[in-house]
Amino acid sequence: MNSKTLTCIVVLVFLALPLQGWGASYAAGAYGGFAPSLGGDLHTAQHYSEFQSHNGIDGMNRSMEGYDTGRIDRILGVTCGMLFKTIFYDYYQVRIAMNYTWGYFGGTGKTVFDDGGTTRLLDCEYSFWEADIPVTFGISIPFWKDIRIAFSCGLAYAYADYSYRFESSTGQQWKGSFAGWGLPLVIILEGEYFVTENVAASTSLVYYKGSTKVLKDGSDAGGTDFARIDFSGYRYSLGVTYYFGSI
Amino acid sequence: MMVSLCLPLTLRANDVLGLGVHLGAHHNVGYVNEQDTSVLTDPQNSMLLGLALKVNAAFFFIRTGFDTTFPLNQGEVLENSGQVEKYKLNYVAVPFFLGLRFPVKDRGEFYMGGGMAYFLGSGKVTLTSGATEDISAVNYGYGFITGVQFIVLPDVRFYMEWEYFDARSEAVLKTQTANAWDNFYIDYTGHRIILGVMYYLL
Repeated sequence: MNSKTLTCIVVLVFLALPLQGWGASYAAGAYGGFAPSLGGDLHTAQHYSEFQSHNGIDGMNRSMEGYDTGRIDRILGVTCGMLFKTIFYDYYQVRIAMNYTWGYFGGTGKTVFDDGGTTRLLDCEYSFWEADIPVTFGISIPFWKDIRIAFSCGLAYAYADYSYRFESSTGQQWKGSFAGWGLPLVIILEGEYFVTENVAASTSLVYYKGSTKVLKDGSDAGGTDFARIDFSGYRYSLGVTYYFGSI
Repeated sequence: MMVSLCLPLTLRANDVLGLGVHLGAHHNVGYVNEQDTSVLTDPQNSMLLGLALKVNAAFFFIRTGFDTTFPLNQGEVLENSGQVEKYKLNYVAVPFFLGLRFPVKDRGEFYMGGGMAYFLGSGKVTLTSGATEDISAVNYGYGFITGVQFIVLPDVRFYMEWEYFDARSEAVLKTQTANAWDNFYIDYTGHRIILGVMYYLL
């Protein structure tokens, strides 16, 4: 992490600190949900040069008569996290969270590829996890004492680890491993239903847009590869938020 | 007698079970330009016609139903390194969402949910050779729904929804000349906008 990024994060965290003079109230919560198509298409340079795929996992999703192939689904991620937010002047909020998201379903299957003029079966396995700290600023509108609807946007410090392992029917293996960080744009739509004066059931829809810079393969099998880890995509979550004081 | 007459009204006030009919739209059906990034497409747009069933329990809701599509135009590949010239994809989607609802007194409600859908897809792909291939696939995908309902009459709501699904099939057709395998899949991924009317039975 360079100093510019660190400064950016420190400033954003500072914005989320208690704002005593502004009649601020505070809340903390936890949530869990899912993230379809985690990591995007997971494309790397070798997907094209070795396996004839222009678009990562989608291009690897092939079938051929006479070969026992199996669909390779995009990765469905499971996500969980904690949040802290400050609401000031009744309608404005600063929200900071910590999320961990990992591939739960998909990302495995059998395909075929052209191995120097011979079509061969290829076992594919993708794995992906990500940790991120989104900091967003926005509006939070209360409806009577029952509901809050919030919309906010900002940036996240996101770190991800993506790896793949392919093995052909001849036993030859290719591995790729990439780890890096980025600062994706984050947009959050949240709803909170107050079950008691201080406790709310919450739901959120979050969109990330951004990626790392191009990363070099950290593994030592199957040649050097390059990839850009994509943080873009939607996440849906359900959770509970506790308000330290009535809204 | 008085109690039995009052009971339906009481249940109606709870907005427990709604049945809706809606129209919608889905832009860029099939995401063909994402399957082969070297092509430029005039994407297919489809109209959706469907039924919605919504069950409310306190601040939770379940939303299911089905949607069927009617292509407004067939997709066309304008500049092509592959073999696809035109395509027309149809599907029936059976979604299931679970989420939270936020009733706004006397006005309606806002709701957000996540879930999955089953897709029964089919279509025709016209290749550059002039041949037309029929394709079909059954798959599931994951997504979310965000909607608002406005009270029009005591039991009738006007609703607008934004749905997003991420789903695709296995490869079902060969649309390239370089290799021998099937590479073309039905991609149901995308956003849908829905407008409809819901009648609350209970």
